[in-house]
Amino acid sequence: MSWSIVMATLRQRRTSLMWYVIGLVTYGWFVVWYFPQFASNQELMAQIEKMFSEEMLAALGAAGMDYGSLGGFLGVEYLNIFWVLIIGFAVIIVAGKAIAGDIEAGTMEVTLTQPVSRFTVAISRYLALVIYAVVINLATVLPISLAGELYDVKVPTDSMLLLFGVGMLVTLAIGGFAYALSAFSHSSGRVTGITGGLLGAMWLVDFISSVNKNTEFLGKLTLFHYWKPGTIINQVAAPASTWWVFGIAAVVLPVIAVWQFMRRDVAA
Amino acid sequence: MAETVVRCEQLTRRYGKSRGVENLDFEVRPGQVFGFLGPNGAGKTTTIRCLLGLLPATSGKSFLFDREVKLNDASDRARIGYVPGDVALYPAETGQWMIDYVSGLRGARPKSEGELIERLSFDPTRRVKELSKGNRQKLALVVALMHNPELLVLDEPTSGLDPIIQQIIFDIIAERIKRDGATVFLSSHILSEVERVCDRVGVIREGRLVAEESTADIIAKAIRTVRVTYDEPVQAGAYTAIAGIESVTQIDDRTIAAKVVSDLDGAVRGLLDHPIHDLQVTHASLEEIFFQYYTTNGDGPPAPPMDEGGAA
Repeated sequence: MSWSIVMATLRQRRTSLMWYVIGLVTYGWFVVWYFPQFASNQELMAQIEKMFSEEMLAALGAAGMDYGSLGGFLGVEYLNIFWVLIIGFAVIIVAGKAIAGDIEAGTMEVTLTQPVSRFTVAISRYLALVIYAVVINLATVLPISLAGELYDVKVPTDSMLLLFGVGMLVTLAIGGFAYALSAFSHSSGRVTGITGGLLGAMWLVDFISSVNKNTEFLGKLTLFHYWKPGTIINQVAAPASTWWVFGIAAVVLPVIAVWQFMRRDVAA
Repeated sequence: MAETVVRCEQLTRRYGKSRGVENLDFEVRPGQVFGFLGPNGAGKTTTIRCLLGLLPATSGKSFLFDREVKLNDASDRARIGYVPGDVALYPAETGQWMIDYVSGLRGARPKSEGELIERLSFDPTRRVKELSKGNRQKLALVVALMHNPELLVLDEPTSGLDPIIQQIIFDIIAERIKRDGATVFLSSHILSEVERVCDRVGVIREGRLVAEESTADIIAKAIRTVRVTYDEPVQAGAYTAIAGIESVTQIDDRTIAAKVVSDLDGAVRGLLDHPIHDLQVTHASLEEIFFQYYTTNGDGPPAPPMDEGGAA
């Protein structure tokens, strides 16, 4: 592992990281800030829920959720869909640039003509991705906890710790997929397009599976099926399938990426 | 000490069905300055990328310091300084950041950073995106040479640069050869720079090595022009049958120019059948030899034509 590569990789993405952190902090803070106004008026909440069709609620990942609870509210307003898309694109871009983008720009040659092995480069770039994921996940849970203190919303610490842990796995599963694709590709744009498209397709499949009993089985093919932040916050628990699916993806995909990078062409 | 610094054994690299390089066999010994000559697209950069472990070979092997090049083995790269023709650097970073980054990867402070910066009049505080092509190339040279490497791999290092910067770069390279005994692998299509610094030349044509000899031998073997001015008028046609002479051109009524391809001694003796006023034997330049390889050993001359002293 080379700290020079880790720090250089993070340095190249410092501006985007700053904007993602600002965006996530603002978003999380804002949702917790207006949650009490909804939670204190259950009648209004019920009316709002009735306003939405079943399809609409499914599209927001709110089917069967208790909208009045903190977990349900944060899930619908923030974490179920929007958060996945925000952090998804953040890590997809970082992972795409880490290998494919660096080869595309020709800058990988500068690194690989120095006395560092490809294995070291691949591991160091992945570590930079992990640090990036830690920062954006901290930018997710810390504002919720801090805003909870400020606006008298009970946010259990253990639920936030669990949310951070599962959030990390979700982030690394998406980032790991993009990183593996990056190791096969010469174009970071292609990595972003394919992974982003796949994420969008998963959301669509999850939506379809939520509104139609006949296609319910399809839901299991999407990561949204295993990402239940409402349950994590309300019950401080995550199903075993969540740990397995995201855990395996977060471990296996980077291994594929490192293996492929060690044998591929590195020329723009 | 390694017996060879660079060696290729039947090195072949293909890009799908496209040609890269085919069955390359050559070696560069310690202290040699090897010119790798060929037009754009001949396979020079592909060869260098295989040698540096950036591209895997389709078949065959390459060696650096007598160790086979493996994609994941970087142990000898601390001994190498690489200058690509069109260097890609992180645009938002400064030259100093690049120098520190490479030093960090090498785990050693540079030995001649200050000297190189001064010699090249390079400002390391400026961002890469603000640098001209010439200044980016200067930065690439600082980064490649600052750790005093044993082997310099230069891939068209002066491509697209003005003659003054070309001169500075070659002065520094020549100094490294003389002072440190560095081995140099110089890829170029600029024949004058190869002729100037290289003591051995490999000519690559459409991915194949068509010649590999010392610069002196390759020039010595090449066509010579014997220009004879006689005391009385002569006819060029009278000399075309002499062994070793390829063609004879009439310059004026008393002067002819004969192209001699072999047996210089016999050819000159055959030309001296009349009293002579003047005699001049000229060697072909490397550029002419280069064209000779492309016209006699191949299907035709390469395009675009070579541009001696500048980029094609």
